[in-house]
Amino acid sequence: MSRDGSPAPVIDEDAFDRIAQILIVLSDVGGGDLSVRLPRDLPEAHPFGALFVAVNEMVESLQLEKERSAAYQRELEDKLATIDKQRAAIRELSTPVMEVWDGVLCLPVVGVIDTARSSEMTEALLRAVVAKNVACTIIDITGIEVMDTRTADHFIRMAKAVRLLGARCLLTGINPGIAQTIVHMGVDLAGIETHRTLRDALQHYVGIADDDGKRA
Amino acid sequence: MIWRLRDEADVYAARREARALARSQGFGSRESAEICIAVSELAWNIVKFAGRGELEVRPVESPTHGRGLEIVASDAGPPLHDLRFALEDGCDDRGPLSPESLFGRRGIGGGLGAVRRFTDELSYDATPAGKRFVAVRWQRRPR
Repeated sequence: MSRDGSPAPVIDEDAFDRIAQILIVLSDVGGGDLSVRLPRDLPEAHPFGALFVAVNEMVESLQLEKERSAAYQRELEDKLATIDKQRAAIRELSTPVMEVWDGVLCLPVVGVIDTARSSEMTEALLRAVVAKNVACTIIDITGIEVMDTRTADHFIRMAKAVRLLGARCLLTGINPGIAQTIVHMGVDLAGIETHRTLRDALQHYVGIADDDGKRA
Repeated sequence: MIWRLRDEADVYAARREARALARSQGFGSRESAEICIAVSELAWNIVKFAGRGELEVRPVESPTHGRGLEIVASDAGPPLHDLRFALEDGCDDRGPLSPESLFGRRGIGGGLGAVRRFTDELSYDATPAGKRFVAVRWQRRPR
């Protein structure tokens, strides 16, 4: 008997079973399992036939959608990983430390130098001096138009740090503007060796090394 | 021009476009590079210390100094502990940086100093909601 006293609708046992089947499938789907399906063996005229088919179709399309979005997410993660790698590569490329001669490292500085890049360069160069056991480094700043005094000061210190690590440090390609910046800072330039161009520095160094008979 | 900054790539995009804007506003090659450095330093500070923020560069004009560019950098990060230290070379906003702390820091404590040298006006204000730098670089520099 229902609450208002009218007789409860009669539901036969088969209908109960069918409803139970639907509920089980829906609860599985709700729990995330999209592989479940209702049996497809109902006769065409069965009152639950159309409902079963509709539920199956709905679960089917949910599953498809889920697979598609998982694939999309994988693709996105791949792309993000690629971007991270490229970013690291760009950072590395922006501070290239090359061995241009036996035992001679060159750091060509190009672009616009801010304090963040100047500090990355120092670290890359000092690490390379030790790791590659070099005798001479050349810092070439031909590509630099403007340098802040603090950054110029940092470069001079970098040159001194290289000497502390037991290698020579040659500065090349200083333009008139930066030369003025450096002398106005009043830093001690003793022990800082400069050459007009990278080529001059290389010739000079390799010439000396030849004379010493140490390097070819 | 306005840029939303979240990471290194945004810093590079902002400074590159700001440099081009400076050129298009009649600044010379050298001056534009200086503006580029100032923008870069302010943008880096946002990304490094606040994580995210906004930077705007806009043309301004004055009867005495001619044309100029105004750089507005704002973020919701913590305010500077002490502005005087922050402007000082080799310091962060709390005081001098020790040489060993510089390694791996991606900076040398000279960013705001560079901004001050490459711009003609620099102001800072902090509210509970965040902080803001406004810098102006004129074509006819005042000093």
